[in-house]
Amino acid sequence: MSQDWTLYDRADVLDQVSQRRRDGQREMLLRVEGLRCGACVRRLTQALPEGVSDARADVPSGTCELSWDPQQVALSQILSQIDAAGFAPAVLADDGAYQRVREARHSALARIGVALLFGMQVMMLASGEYLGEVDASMRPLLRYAQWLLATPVALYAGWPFLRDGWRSLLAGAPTMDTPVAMALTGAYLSSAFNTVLDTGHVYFDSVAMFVLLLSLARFWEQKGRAQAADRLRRLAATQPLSARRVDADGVHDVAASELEEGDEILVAPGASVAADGVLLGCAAEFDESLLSGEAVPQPRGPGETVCAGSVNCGLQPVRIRVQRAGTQTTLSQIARMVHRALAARPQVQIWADRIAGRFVAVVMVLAAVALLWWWPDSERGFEAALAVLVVTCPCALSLATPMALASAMTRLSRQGLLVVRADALIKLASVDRVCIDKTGTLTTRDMRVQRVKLLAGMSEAQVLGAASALEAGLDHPIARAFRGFETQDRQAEDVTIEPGRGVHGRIQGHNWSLRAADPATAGQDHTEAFMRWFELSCEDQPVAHIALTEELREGVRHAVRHWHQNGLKVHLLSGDRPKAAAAVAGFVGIDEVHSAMTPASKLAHLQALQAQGHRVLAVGDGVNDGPLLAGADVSVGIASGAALAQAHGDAILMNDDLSSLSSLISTARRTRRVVTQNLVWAAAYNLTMLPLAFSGMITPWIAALGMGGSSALVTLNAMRLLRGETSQPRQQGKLTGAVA
Amino acid sequence: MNSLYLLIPLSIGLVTLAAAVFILAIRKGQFDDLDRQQQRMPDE
Repeated sequence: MSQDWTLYDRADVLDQVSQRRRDGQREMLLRVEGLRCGACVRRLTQALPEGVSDARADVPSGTCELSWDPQQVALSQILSQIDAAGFAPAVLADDGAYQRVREARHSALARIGVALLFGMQVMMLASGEYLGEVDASMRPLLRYAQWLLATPVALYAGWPFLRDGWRSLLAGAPTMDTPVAMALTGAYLSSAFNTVLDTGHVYFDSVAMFVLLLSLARFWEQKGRAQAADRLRRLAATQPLSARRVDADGVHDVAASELEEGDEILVAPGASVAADGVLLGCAAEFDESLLSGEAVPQPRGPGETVCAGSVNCGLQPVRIRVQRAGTQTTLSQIARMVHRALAARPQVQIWADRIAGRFVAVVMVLAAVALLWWWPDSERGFEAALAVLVVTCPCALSLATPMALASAMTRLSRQGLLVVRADALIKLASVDRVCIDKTGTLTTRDMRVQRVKLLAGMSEAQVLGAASALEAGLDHPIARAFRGFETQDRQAEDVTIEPGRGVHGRIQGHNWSLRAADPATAGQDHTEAFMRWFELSCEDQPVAHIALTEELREGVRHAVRHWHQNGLKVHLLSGDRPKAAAAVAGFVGIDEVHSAMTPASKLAHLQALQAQGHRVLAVGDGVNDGPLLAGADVSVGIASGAALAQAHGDAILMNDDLSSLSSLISTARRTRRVVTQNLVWAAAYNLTMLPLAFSGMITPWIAALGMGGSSALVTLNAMRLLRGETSQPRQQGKLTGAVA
Repeated sequence: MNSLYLLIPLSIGLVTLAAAVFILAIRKGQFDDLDRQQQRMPDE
């Protein structure tokens, strides 16, 4: 099927999928099918037309970042050439959030670079004066040089602190940045003053050191957030941006945003639905794993609702009458929730700022008192006031928590766990119950052949060969379970799907069918409750019963064992049959099983636990778990499953290996310990240094050094979280459940 | 000591150059992704 790509040249669509850069170029992220190795990357790069200035393909995530000059080449031309080269491109919606995060990162890095490079020079020049080796005649040169070098540090690198600090002071709500801004301004201005008059002291070195340490702390704090935005962007297999609309005069490719209620759209096999709507014509099957986490394709009859983002798994194109399009679809609502979660500030930070507001007021009063105390010795008074501002800079205090959180988040993200809300880590430390869902959480959404019962003189290979021939053209978990059993001589013809029941077709002239087996006819010895039985028949005669099982995720037992060791009790809440739930629970060693639960009863169970004073961690996936995840104290969503779980999860597991969850609790507890240590140290430091600074025993450079040492201690203590036990091999970029 | 009148401006010039190169590298996106590149297939 050749697609009409010219749709993407329209200005409104172009803005939706790509970002305009300052130099007039555009950039976008593209999902590319069939990107498997370095050679593919090379082939893709060669396929790109003139005018594409940069293409960065990433094999693990199957994406490519493109920059091009819209004056030279149209997007449609790029897309069609990629398509022609054999890589099916899928365009993703992009609201520029990622670009903003990246720009923030760029300026943060540039500020650190400037503070570091210039700051080192300042400190070197300042050291001469401290060591007392400098002629009086040389002093002006050294001081003017320091002034020159410290200016970019203070005004460029320190700009965010100056701006935020003074702005918040003027607004009447001082934050932690306020004393920083006051100390920076005071130290810088008085140093400049003393340089011109060639008297007193200069504090340019203290300014540089101060700014460098503060910028580094900021940068680390931002880093986790940037990673979160990047990962989520690459994961977002959003609804398609184009659709094929059935008009009176034929089928047209149109932008999804153009669709209106009542339009009729055509969805090709394997394509995803562009808008929420009702199915017209014949019944069909849809893979809704993106929305619900449900493994098995969902049969939908005429008149039933189909959600945007679900994939047509059948062999026939289907027609859908649009009900909600564009930003109204379920999928885009989910996407908005994810963005909101990302934009939220950690509770710890809000709390810290509130404390700072009061603390800062006290510090400012103390600084003023110090100034007056030493009056009329204005030099000493000024030094004491500056020392008070610098030494009590709540830097260590403000670093204590974010640094620890950032380290813990970095460590967890290396293991495939993305912490979306930093508060979650603090809350996690006190969790004592885990509620976990079964389907899609403990088990993957893939199935495999567990057992074959032969009923009529055929071999297992023949039976499985026939089944795989029937399922060969299909792509859903049941069909995938039969891959690898194909035989050369068997090809199925006239394959038709009976939605919700099975498939039938002709193999070597005989009618074969594979249907879900009725538990009654499949016999009594089908005891393994978590198996799903199918009946293969030839000319209506049952030939074999085949059992498929859901596959347990890797590391499930490891995670459960680890939770038990940490004193947590695990509850399995499953919507499945009691037998199936008990079988899985028994296998992985879960204490308490609750089966046949509805979303409401899961939530009620959780609330009952909370009412008893327990703190609950919910692990889940899928639309069924939405309320559960939202109601829990802390929640972990599994990203290979439903997008909704991402939206609700405080943390997101990016791979299929649940053993990363085992280190979650211990990391959270270590984080809490480190945060406490840091806060105690910072408080003790401030309480000791404040009287010393006030009494004039501490000069500003000692204060800056003390502040620096204190911050370094806090930072290094937090860095300990990056190292340590049970570090697992990194797993990256494994994208399952991504539907393009 | 008089050499300082030459060396200090020189060092200021050098550090400015270094900062400019660093900022240029950032703008080019060289520090955008420090984690994934090490695992990337070498694309010759």
